[in-house]
Amino acid sequence: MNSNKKISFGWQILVLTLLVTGYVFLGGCGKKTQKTQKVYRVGILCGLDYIGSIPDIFKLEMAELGYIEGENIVYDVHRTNFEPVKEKQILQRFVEDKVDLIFTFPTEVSMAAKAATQGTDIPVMFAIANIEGTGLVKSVRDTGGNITGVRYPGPDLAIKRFEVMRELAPEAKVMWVPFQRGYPIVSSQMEVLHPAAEAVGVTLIEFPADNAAEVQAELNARDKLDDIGFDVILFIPEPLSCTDDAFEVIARFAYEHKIPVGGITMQVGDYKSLFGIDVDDPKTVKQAAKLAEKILKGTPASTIPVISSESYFEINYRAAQELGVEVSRGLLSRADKIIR
Amino acid sequence: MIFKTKKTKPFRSLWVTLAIAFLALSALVLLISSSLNMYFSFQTQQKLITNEQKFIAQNAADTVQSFIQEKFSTLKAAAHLSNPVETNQEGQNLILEKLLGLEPAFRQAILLNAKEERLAKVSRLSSLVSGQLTERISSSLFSQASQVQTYIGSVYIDEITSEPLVIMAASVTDIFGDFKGILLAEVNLKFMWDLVGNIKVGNKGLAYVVDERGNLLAAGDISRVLRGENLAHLKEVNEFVMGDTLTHKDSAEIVKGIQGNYVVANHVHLGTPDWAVIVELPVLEAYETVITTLIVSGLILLLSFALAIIFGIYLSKRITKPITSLKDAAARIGEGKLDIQIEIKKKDEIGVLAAAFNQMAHDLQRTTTSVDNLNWEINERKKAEKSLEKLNKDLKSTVALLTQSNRQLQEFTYLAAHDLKTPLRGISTIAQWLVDDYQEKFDDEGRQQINLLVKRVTRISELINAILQYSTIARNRHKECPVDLNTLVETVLIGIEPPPNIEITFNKELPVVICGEKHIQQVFYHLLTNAIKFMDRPDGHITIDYTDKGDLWEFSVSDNGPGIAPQHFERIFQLFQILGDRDQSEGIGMGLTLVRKIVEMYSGKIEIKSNIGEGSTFFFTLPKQEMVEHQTLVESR
Repeated sequence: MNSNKKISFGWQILVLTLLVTGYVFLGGCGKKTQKTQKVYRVGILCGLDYIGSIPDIFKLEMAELGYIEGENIVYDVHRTNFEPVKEKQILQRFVEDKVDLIFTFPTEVSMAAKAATQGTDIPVMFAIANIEGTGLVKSVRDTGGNITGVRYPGPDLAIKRFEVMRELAPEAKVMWVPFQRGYPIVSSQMEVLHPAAEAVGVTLIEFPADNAAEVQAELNARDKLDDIGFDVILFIPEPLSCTDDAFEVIARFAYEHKIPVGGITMQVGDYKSLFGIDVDDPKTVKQAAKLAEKILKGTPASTIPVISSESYFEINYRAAQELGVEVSRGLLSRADKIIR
Repeated sequence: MIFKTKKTKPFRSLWVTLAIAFLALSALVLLISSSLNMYFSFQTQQKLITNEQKFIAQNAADTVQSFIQEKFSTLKAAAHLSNPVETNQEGQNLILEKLLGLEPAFRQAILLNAKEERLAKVSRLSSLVSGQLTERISSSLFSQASQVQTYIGSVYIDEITSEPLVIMAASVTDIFGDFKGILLAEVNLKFMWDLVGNIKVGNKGLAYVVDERGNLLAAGDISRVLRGENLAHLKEVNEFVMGDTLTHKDSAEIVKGIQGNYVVANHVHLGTPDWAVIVELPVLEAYETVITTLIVSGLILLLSFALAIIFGIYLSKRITKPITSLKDAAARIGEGKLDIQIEIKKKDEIGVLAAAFNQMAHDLQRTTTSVDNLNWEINERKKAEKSLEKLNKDLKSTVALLTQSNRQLQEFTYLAAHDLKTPLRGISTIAQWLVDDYQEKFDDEGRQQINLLVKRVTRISELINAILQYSTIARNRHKECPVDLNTLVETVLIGIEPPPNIEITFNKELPVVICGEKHIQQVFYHLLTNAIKFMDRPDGHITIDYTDKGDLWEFSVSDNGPGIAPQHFERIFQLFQILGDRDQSEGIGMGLTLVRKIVEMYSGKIEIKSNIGEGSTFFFTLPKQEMVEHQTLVESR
């Protein structure tokens, strides 16, 4: 095979000479380029208060990679909390400003960003976005558009949360699952959850709500009943349970009825969830920053495969004690973090 | 027929040729030395790079290997410390859960007994996606894993995340070492990415890991791993895939790297697993020292070449300047400026050449001056010759005219004298008749007048005879013959009859000469007659002498008579010139004129030395051998 043949000394000298020539001539150009270095503009849209710290983490990670805000990069950061209209306007402004990159999270704003940039060459990078059932990308390896990012393994996390909840409450037969009404990734999770629950004889009660008040009303109504109708409360990956007021309403109800509540790591006042299985935000943002660097350096987003976030498992051992839930040693052994 | 015209090369100065030669030689030397320097520098640097690459590659391999070994150690510890096969279900799950808790890279763990039955399974994943491991556990895998203490399978890709996974296993034994089962773990190799990505290979180098098929397992750029790239097309990877398991290579090669740039690459085969760690260092960085050396060498080369150009031109001009001066001087000499002198004080061949040139110019100038002079002289001579030729021609013409005139004059004179003689003779006869017949009838005055008439007629007759004699000297040819002058002079003296008071002596006997006898006779006659006629002393003495002067005779006739004043020396030889009263004189002034004409006719000379009161000496010369020439001359006249 020709490729196995050693390159002769003469060829090596020739290649070296060409490289030196290129180095000498292009070196000067490179310096000139450096003097007129481009200042990148990145539009960031955070669509959920729960992960509102991500922009700052992202800036720090980008700074680590040499993108200093104000020097060679500027950010246009906007924060919303499940506000589709406003999000659409922000994204439209990003498009009009012809930013170099739109960074969005979580799923719904990422989908909106993809829609807003249709027909443009503005790349979109997402994080903490569920790709299953959302149409955000075609596949992990082939995104099918000028978009890439760090995926949020929503269905898998939902199942995992369900499985952990069963380990914590193996006697539970009915799980109440509140979620943000109309939130796009819920259906894909429910699609995998229902069969999994049915397989082990567990019933899932879905409760879509628009806000905490609606949840409060529902729980108040159940509270008046002899049987509240479920044994545990399971949070799936969605925004409603991540809001303090909604979580407080739900957690207070759980504490009052001594029923396990968990899925995400939350604490509002004295109310805590039992456990949380989610992605590691700092690691996710770090990966997103690396992707952003590649995109800003010119790699088409469509050619960059989607990275999967690694899950992170926390157990609030104190909450378990407060709720009278026994946590097995095996579960504790698997936990990445135990809150005592 | 086609004639090819020979192209003449354009003039090129010697200094240009020298400069080009110097530059070519300098460039050759510089290039050879630079090339050798580059070659050896490159070889040395290549060895250094090779060693450095070996070191870096080995470190990278150690890092990856330690990652794998760490996983094996964890598995083996879990398998040996608590014999999980013989533990109850809860204990087995706990062991596996602890295993996952201990090692984040373990996604799932499965415990199999010796009968290949699954005793426990714990997964970090949900049941939704954890089935892939179960599907991969086969009898073949169990068989392979059961035969070794540790086992690592082939890499496979997670269907959802595209992350590379691998199954690692450790055999479970009891305290006696008997095989009891296998502890399996699905290892997510993404935990190796940061490890590999952080391997430092120079400043811009990188390391990556490929499996036995060339699939990228770990790299700093995780998107390429997620794409499931196969790098077998890269030369370094291909060598590994094709079975080149050499841990270290002898030389770092320049190949195309994973990023498409030229790199110096090396790979280390890990052995177990059958992976390789590739390290790549961009050529520019790897050969930075060589490149710096090249650039410096190049700059030095350029500088040297520039200096070579400057010195080449300077030296060439300096060397050829004298030659150029010589050329210019030669050109100026060619223009005729022969006073050129070259000022070259060099003590070398050029100096010697210049000195020789100056000498040559000097000689040439001198020679040319001589030639000029000679030419001028030749020209002048030619002019003179032409002039002389013309003069000769004119002279010949004149001589011819003169000869003709002279001849005509002689003929006229002769004829005139001859023709006058007849009527004069009649007049004389008539006068004589008058004297003879009528003397008595005349009174004294008449007689006196008639006597005067006779006397004048006689004188006229003498004059005419003298003229005839003068004119016939040249006309009458006398046969030249040896003449004994002693006899001749004696004969003349007999005819003259000198008076007794005059003694005539010969100092010595006169020679025999070759001439016309009548002519020499007339010479001696007139000289002796004059000496006798004008002798005013009672003891007159006349001496006849001669001197042999080689090719001529010099004769002399001396007397001690009254002498002649020097102012009359020329006059006495002129025709009809008489010193004193003509009527009182007996002569007619013809003797000495005839003498000179005869002497000169024989190419001789006549002159006089005389002092008043002391006497006179007439010298005349006759050439000894003038017979033929004389004859010719006489004929020409």
